[in-house]
Amino acid sequence: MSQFIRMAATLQTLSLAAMEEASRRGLREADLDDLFLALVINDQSAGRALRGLDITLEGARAAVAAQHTSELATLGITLEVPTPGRIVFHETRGYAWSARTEALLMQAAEKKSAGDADAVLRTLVNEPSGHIIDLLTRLNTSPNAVLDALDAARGAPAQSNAPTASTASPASTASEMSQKRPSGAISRSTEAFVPAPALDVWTVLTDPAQIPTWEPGTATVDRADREATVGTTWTAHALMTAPDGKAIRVPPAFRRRSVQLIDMQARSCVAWRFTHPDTQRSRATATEFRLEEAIGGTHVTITTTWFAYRGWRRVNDIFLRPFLPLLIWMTNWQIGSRLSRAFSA
Amino acid sequence: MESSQLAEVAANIGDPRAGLRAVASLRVLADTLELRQVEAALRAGMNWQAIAEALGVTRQAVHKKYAQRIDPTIVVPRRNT
Repeated sequence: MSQFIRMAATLQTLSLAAMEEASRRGLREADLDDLFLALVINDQSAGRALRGLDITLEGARAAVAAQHTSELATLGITLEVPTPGRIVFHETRGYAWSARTEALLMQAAEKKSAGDADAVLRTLVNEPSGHIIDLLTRLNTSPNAVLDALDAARGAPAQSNAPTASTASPASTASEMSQKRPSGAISRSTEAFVPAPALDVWTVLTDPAQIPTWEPGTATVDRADREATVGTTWTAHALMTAPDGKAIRVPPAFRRRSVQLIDMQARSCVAWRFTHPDTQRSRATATEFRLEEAIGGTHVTITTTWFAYRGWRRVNDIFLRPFLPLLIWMTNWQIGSRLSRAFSA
Repeated sequence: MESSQLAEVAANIGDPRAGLRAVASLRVLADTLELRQVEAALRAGMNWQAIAEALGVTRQAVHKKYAQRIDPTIVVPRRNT
């Protein structure tokens, strides 16, 4: 991935997480605190460095609240800062970065070093107001400790920072998948961090009733109480109303979906296959999750496979092929964000 | 806000750097409270004009800032009703 694409992907991920955090604090402008919280649950080395310093999402949120209360107290104002609520980002609009955070992100993007969350965190710990230094002190650490942790985390592969629950590494799995893939199928993997133990994440991912939690287009699953065993197929129904109340237009033939559990290994792997039984104009897709216990949560490798269209529609892929990796990355990114939010909302 | 919640506005000027950061924090708090109050006002049936007057800003300013940001389930009163 080029540095430009990588930075764009990083900013997209950080913006969503930060604005979700701003939304639960009753704000529509994401500031330095929200960027910091987004970095705590980031899947890249920046997140691993912070979590390696024993900073959890819960701990960091508490520190942000305490920091604001204490800053107000220095003005002689003692009042209860409103308790944050749930994330309402997806039901509301009009979000933006604060001017100083936007400037900071631009500065990080211009750095010649790796244009990723690592660069953003390095810039953030040196931000000029001193707010983040105070926050780090409150979290029993310092900018230098964060920079050292970043240097250490940068070289280390994602899965090596904790005991691993799975025997197969994501790389070997990806190659196994590509060997098994029928011709014309394309698959891509994306990393995500979920702030919850692997068993909790696995429980959600293997429960058919919870498919709407992570699959963006699904509203409900019929007979979801049936036992989840490999090979079982459920019928799911498309989401017709967006979280903000707006209607979503879904052609009738695409409203019903068959969802089959195609792989399940205790605490480490689960995979689902999706098809539209009412139309030939759709391709089958599969989503695989590989879980590894990590410090402060679970490292999840999400692999989405798009199988080729059936019949003459296969020709469509010739034109779509250049865009497929990006489209699949966006699908993985949405799934990863939703899964992470399910445990941080 | 009850007066008991506000106490000893001492305005310590011993550490201006910390003081300035605290003022930034206060602005964030003000933004949180303002959004809450605007939503409450709309739910109570106040229109943008009345909200703007209470905030001491123009109707255009308050509408521009909050029209998109409020809870979309709120039924906003039309301008001339």
